[in-house]
Amino acid sequence: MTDRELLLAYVEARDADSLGTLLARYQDSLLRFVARLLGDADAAQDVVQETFLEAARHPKRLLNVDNCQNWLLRVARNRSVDHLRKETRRRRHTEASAPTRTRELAATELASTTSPLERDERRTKTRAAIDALPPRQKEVLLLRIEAGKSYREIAEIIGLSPTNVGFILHRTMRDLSTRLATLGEKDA
Amino acid sequence: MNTTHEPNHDSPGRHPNGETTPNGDGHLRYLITAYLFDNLTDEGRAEVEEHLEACAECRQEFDELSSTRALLKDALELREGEGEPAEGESSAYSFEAHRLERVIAAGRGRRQSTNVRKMVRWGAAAAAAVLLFGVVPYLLRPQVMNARRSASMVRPQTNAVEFKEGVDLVGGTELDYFYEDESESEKAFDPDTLRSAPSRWGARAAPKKEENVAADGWAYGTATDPEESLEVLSDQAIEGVRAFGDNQKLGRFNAPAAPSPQFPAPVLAAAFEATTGVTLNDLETGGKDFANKNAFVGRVTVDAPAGTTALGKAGEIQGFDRFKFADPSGNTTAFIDLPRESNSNAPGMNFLSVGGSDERHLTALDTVQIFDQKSKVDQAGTAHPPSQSAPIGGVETPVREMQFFGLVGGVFDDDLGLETGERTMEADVAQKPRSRGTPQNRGRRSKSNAPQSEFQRQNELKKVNEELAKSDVVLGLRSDAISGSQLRSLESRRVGGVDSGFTLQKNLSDNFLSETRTRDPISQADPTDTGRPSNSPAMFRGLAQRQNVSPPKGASALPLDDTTFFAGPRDVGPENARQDDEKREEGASKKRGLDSYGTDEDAIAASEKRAPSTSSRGAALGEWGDDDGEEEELLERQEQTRLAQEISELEEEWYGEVYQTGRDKAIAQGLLDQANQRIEILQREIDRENGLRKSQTIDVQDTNGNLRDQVKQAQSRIRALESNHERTLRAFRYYQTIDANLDRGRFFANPLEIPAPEAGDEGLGRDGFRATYGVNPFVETERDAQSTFAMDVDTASFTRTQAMLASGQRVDPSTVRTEEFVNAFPDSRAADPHQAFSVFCEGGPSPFGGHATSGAPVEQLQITVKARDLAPAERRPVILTFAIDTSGSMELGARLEAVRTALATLLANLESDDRVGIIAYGTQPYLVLPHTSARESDRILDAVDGLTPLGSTNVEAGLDLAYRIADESTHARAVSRVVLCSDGVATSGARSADDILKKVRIYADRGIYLSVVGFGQERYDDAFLEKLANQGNGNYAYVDSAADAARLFKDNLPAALSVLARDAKIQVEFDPEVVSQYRLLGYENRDVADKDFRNDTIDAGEVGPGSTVTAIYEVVRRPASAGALGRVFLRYHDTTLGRVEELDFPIPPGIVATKFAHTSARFRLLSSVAELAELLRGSYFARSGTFSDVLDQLNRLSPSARSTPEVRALIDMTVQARRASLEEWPE
Repeated sequence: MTDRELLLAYVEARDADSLGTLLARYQDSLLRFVARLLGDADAAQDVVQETFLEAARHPKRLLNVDNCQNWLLRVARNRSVDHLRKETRRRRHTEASAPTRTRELAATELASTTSPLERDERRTKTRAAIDALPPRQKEVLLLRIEAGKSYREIAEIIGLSPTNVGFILHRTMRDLSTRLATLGEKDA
Repeated sequence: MNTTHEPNHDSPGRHPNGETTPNGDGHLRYLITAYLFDNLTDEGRAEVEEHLEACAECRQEFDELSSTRALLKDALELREGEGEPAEGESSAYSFEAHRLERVIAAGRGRRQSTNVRKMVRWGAAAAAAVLLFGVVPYLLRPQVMNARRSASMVRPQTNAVEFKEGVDLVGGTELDYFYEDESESEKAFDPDTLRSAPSRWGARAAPKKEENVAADGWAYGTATDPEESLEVLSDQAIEGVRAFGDNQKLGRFNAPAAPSPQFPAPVLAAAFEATTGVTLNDLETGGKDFANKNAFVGRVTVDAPAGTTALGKAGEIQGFDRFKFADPSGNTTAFIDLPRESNSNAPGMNFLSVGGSDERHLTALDTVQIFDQKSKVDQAGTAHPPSQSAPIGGVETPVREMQFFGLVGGVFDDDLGLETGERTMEADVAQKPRSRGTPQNRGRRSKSNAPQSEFQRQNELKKVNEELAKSDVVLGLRSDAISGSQLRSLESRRVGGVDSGFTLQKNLSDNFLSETRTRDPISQADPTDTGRPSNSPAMFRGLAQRQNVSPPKGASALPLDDTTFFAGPRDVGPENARQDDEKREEGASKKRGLDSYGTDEDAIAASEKRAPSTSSRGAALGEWGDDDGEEEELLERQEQTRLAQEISELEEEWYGEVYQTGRDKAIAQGLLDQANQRIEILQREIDRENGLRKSQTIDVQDTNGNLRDQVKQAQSRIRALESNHERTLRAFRYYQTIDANLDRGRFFANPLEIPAPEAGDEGLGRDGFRATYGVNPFVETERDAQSTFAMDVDTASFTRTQAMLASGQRVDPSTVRTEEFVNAFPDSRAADPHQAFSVFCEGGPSPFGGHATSGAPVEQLQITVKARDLAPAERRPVILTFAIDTSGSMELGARLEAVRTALATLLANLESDDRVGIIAYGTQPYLVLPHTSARESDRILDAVDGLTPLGSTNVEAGLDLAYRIADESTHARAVSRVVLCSDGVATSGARSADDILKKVRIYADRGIYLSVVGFGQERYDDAFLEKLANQGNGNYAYVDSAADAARLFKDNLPAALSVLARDAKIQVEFDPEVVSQYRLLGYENRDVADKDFRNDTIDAGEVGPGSTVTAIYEVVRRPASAGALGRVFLRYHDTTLGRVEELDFPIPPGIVATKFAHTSARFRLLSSVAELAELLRGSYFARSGTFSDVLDQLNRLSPSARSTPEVRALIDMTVQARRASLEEWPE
């Protein structure tokens, strides 16, 4: 069944399971995106759940869009931004006194889920470099590389013009290039 | 560098930030990335490839980027095994299955009957409590107390509440107990309602056993005894709370009960029991799950167990009589402190504290209902000899009901309610004073050691206090229940503190009790009771919150029963007075007597009486018997008053301190949030009550009005603060121009005012002033009484600025033209159809004056010139030649799409004898569609669809071709017009801008006018496009949205297509006897020399039918002058008559209002619009103004005026402008 059919089944036949089927299609990609964006796997679970609840509550909004995944990404992204905003404020306040827990958690989380095989330094470093990106750059990058969205789709999801997306992506790539190159030199 | 590449990557590469890649100009910049990510059209790709061939530098960059991309892909790729979550952790890679189930369940529950929603409010209530107080609400709420049940204690089996172990319990635990109630047997909880509804968890029917076992194997509230059924809140509701966006981790009770070190079950049980008479085995089962739980809110109506023994009066403590009693088990002794009649220590308070043995001291508020069966009967109207009633002691079955507020562990959770930026401000305040070093700030710092915590604490205390105020009993459940250190510093917000609740209690007392009882009555007076050192920090203090609802002098200070409680504020009628007298007597006797309790039967009868209201009423307000409609209303009011008072006290207290510190805004914001939340909650409660009790009327208006006012106040306070910030920032920028090394910190600490601008020209003369400041100066009429300029109907500057602001881009002041702002607001008044123009004048005090004048104040004069509408017969067919920019950049931001939309709109509004032709120009122009009848709109639109953006922008060639085509198909009757659609300027082409302009001029003289429609925001040469349109006798508009397109090509189509008057000029001649000085706002580049007004060869403005041109002057009138201010002359070439005409209109003095309030809505709107433009362009005369002032003015417009889309958009725009201007404000 297509996304739309599933949605219609949910909206018209009140079949919640078809909603589940639909959401299950996107859950993991959505979660990965949010988890990366937030650097906090737990929060990501929450954000995705909230996103899904939004879909459950307002399925008609989903019906009105071409691409369910993009809609979900947009909602998840907006919620993530809210979350980050909150976090940032909180962090700014507590930074001086104590390292924040979420950060630590996130770091451990990501490290611990890396199997020995991939514990290769380069990957870790690259990931760290990605994590260190400012949110805007990070989201554009993730949407492009991880979610495989086109400039135009990214623009729709985050509410910029494709030009801006192109520009941001370019700058992100350049920044990362420089950064990773520096890391490489240090290692050498 | 191959020139054909340049335009294509040039336009996208130039970012609004003006940032360029390190490669510098001439390289592909971000197109490389786009190429790398395969996001280019075939042509684009080919171009990039070609360029990469040729350019080594770009090739290197491409290689670097592509290896980075490979790295990134590798790093982000999910490898085998990575998707597996570590044990007990959620995975970063896959969504937890049970969460999806929740969502599905929520989806399933989405469409339930409406009484579900009613039900749900209960659940949402708790959710709101979560939000509000940062505590985990915990509710025990018996729904029915019928006779049979009331006789036996409701005590769920411990194994009835069974939950999965090993759940992450970081945030706390949520539970709800339910008693059976057929009337509320709905189960589903709507997350929507949960999200929005307030206050408490609700009751629901007894579960039918196993059906509540969810798929994940967790049992939710399965009760074993149908008689005493009990259910934990449904999973959905819990998840509904989750859906709030808080990160509350919901824990579950473990069964069987296993009290843990973290949760001293005996403490809780004993405390609770001592207060309520219920043995809390069920709560004990909470076990370790309470470890991180913060608090709970509940309400319980219970029967004290038979066998509760009253031990009689045990002493006196600070004006209270202490009565002790023991529970049936004999393990717990409890005491209740009841105020004596004249309690000087707690004036105006009805104070009651309840304590238990073993260091558990309970404090109850005056709303605790402790009554024996006797008093119940009293309430029911049966007279009982006072001597027979006694509250404590002797009576075996006291019936009590109370709402309790329990505190266990840290009070505040990270995720709840406190993220309003206060702390950010705090941090700033904490750090900044050092650098600022103003005495004022130093003083503040030394005064408060920890401003952060102080600030925070007050905020949080307020929240706690709100809950406390609603609660009847405060239960302190652990010695470390409330961490004072947590309140003082927020460093360990999730970790249970080690301090005692004493801190909180004391703080609350300090803040809210008119008389603070800081000493521990128990340890002082009855040390044997606790067996602890008298200075035990674990003491909980009594709180008396309800000053407003305390009984009147003379009435019983003891909350003996329902009516007593309300006796105070209520207007006591004779009937009530009699009853009250009885109660008082009874109360007094209770205090005296304490001899015996009533019988069981009486208690049952009483609770039966109470049952109806109990079941129909929410937990929110308490259950006050049958005839309580009035009382509820009263209570509502009291609650309102109390709230209002509380808020205002807090505000006073806070603001007194913080106004100097810069934290004010955050606090105001916090207040606002809280007030809003309160409103929402109260509204919900009222809604619910209305729904449940139809007969009851609550004055919603009154209830909400009160709080709404507070919200308004808080909002206006925020506005005032932002306005101050804005002013300070502007002042800083202003003084920075004088002293480039101005220290920001020092300046902010002690900001200066910007001197008001002189109403003059600083001695520079008109031209000199304009050259220096870019705006018209005040001109003395003695020197030059005539102000002459060409009419201008363009609006592009406004539309474009709006688009820039909306997308968060910086507005270039040079692109802001005041007249285009003002003219974007056409006058809807009908013009005189018998003459080409009508003139409307209006004057009034200038709302944004602020000028230093040497006499009379500055007044504003608005001269609106309205062109008549075209009669239908006058309409001439139009031949439109579109020249569409198809350079590469048009692909971006759906600009071609916008062109298409615009064209479609246009076609829908054209007549069938109109014709449209299209040429496109990129690097080279080409004919897309020869002139075609507007009837064939499909063909025309198809032609646009076929356009592919590519190449550079050769406006010159494009215009050449367009004019050639237009020239070929002129028609004697028809109006011919070239419409240039462009997002930029000439990037290629041989001739200079002047040459292009000259050409446009030549064609315009031949009757082919040029209209310019601008798209896009980057690389946009506003000045050039404006000149083009000006030279081409056309209009210049900017399209950023479909709405813009509609306005341009639908609403303003007649004006856009035909010309009513050519070379139209305005000359305002002021009477020097009346007006001493004047200043024209805007029209700087429309200036016409005074002497040229009657020179008809001078090029001036073209005005289409129905257009509005408004000129705004600021004038200074001579004191005591009377008579007309001057005359308005209009001179133009009337295209209908084919000759030059001149009209003139007086400016009578009567049109000048003496008060701003007397001016018309349009006058006020336009004055704001003009000020906004002046601010945005950095006008000399607006230097001491702020966007906040404009916003204030706009907000003062009538609601109907404010609700028009134009004004709403204007308000948005102003808000955005202000936000942008506040960006530099240090957080």
